[in-house]
Amino acid sequence: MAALDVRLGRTRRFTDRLLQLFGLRLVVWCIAAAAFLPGVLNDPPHTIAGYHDEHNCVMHEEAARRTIAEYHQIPAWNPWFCGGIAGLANPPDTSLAPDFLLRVLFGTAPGRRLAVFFLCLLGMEGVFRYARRHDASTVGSAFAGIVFACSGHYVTLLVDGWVFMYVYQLIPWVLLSFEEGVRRKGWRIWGGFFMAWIVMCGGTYVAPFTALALALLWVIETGRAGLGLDGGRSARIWEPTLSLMTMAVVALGLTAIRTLPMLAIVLGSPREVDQVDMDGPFSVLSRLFLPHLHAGWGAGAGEFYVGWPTAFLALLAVVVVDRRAGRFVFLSVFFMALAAGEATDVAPYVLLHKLPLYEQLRFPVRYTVVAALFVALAAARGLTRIEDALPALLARIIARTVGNEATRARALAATAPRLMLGLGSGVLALSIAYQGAKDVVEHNVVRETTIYNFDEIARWDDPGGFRQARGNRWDAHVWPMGSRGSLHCFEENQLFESPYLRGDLPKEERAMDDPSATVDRVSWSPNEIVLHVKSERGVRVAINQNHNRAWKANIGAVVSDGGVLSVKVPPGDHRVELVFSDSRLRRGALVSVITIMMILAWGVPHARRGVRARWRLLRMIRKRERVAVG
Amino acid sequence: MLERLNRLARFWLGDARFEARTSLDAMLPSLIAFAALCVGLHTVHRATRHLLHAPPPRTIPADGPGDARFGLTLATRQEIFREFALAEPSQRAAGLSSFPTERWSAEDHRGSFERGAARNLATRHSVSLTQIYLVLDEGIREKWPGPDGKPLDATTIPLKPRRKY
Repeated sequence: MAALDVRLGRTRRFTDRLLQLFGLRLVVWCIAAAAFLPGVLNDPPHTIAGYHDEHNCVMHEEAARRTIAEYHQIPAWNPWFCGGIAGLANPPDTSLAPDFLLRVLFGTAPGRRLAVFFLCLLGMEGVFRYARRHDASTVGSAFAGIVFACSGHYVTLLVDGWVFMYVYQLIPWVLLSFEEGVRRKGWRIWGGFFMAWIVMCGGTYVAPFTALALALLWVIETGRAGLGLDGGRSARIWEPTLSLMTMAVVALGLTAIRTLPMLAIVLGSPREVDQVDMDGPFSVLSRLFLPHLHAGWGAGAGEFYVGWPTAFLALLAVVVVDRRAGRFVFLSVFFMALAAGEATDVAPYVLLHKLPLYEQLRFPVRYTVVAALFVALAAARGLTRIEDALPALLARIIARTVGNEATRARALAATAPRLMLGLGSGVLALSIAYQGAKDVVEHNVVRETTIYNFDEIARWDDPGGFRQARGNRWDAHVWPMGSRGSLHCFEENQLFESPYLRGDLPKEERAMDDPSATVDRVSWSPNEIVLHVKSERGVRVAINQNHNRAWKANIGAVVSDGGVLSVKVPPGDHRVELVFSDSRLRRGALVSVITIMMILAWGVPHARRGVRARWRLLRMIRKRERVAVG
Repeated sequence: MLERLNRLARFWLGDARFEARTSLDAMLPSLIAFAALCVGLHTVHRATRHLLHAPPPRTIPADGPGDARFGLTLATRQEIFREFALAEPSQRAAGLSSFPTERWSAEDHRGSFERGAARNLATRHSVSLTQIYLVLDEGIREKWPGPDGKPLDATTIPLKPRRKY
């Protein structure tokens, strides 16, 4: 954790010490998250939400969980949907994201809820640290953390089942890592790690949004370095670029196992978007600052509520011309303008939509969530200015009334008045922060039984093993739980599906052109099917799944028969082993493993040096003690 | 005493004049941080214990006794399938009328009507959706007759997402 220590804000405040303890912050985050997410934490653990996207996500995650936990394979192929599609390479896949481990350990539905809770905590901590970097007080930073992590959009994500988008909570970590990484190498690695997490977590929207925010911050930091705005402490002009590039290299290296095979889908079958999305600037403001009925219980889809006190505090930062809030205000306005969509022909969204990758995105209103982050950060600075006002007033009074310079210095350094005023301003800031955060949490609260009230998932293991069914994608979650694949399906990308797959076959693997041949299933797993094939004159064996070039057989040749996975088996008695083996995935895995090893090779000695330094300091103090006693 | 209070105040304010003089001074922040971390982790565990200790999902009963499957008798399963089969022609027609030229979209639309029927049946029979869909699958697989005496179609239209939703 040594590398995660954030440089302290320059101003010392009474409230600093209390929330500087990570454990106490964790308690505060827990209280706030538990107040925000009672439905997530307390509803029956295997109950899911009603929206069909939730069912789709649960299906994908359950398919990946079973592949990992029950078949001990990498979820490269998902036979439970569309007659068999890419698993890991499918853009919405989340199976290698760090938070997926919770699904593997605790089950899909409870694991999803735990991921929501822990990402919420991470979001609060990330915003806190990022705000502290910009010299916001601990109270202001904590306020911003709670406001952002409990903002309205996170409820919409739960209603719609888009838990994979909860990695919006990692954006502050990425931005913090970039800014800290300008001077400290360790942070660049952390930045790459968080970026990789976002990409691994089905980051269709979150990754491009984060990249855009990073690009803008890079312009700001390079500008600051170039103009020397920080005086003697200014970074060299190339350091922001180095920070960004290192993060990108680390992220690309860590995610290669997913991105290399995914490129084939993203480039080969892009999401085709042909819809006009527009919104007015006032709607964006209204979504952020005015309480509406929430999507979760009926109206106002696309809520992002961060509360009017947040708006007031952010505005205060603008009014008092707080220089540190400047970048947050600029970035929030920029992302609000993007969220307005195609409001005019020259709207930023229209221009952005011409760029590769961004052209595949819909619903510009989602940019509001990034705007919400920067509004919360600006509000943290506004609250800090209130907290700093009393001590600043005292300093001004002393400066005006005490003539003697030495006396003035003593008066300014006196501990007791500083404590008193710190206490007063701390209590004032704390009460404002409490009321503001309470407003947001109470408005956005996920009440019990309001979202997770649909179907309790149930499992049925077919003694005959896996089979394809006609299925129904609207309730996709039931199929992997019932040992069935759903041929009827939906994916955002145009993935291949054979029209010849059937949901009524007595056996999933059958001999096609030799009635005397026999085909028996020896074992079945998502990525490996073992068959016992007996034929006198050779036979074509059809497997009731889609063909994919990555399927390989130990005997005969794998062919596509109208898109159905088939193997031409020579005459004789054979044990045919079909294995899904994607060469892009293997190459990507190699790159990812090398990246991890390089990070460890660099990071472990670095961490050891830090620990040794602390021991040396302790030994030195003990030695001094012994000398004093002697 | 006053000196001690002053030192405490300096420590609290992170004052540069506070200097660790004893090993306890040096270790105090770490000890406090460790204690706070323990409290924090305990709070996390308390908040999430319901999910951390969740039992596995409910299991649908194995076949039997008698003709029972998925925890339902054959008669109940056939009744459920009959309702699906009766509704399917009108659902297909509704799908086609909404998307006359887009075959996948028409089939997808039919699927959304089927979902509605499945939810109603699950509520009426007080069983899970998984059981209801497994019954539908059994009926298609066993080629139970539909309203026209023929089994329901066991195939679907291959995926072709629209450009606009």
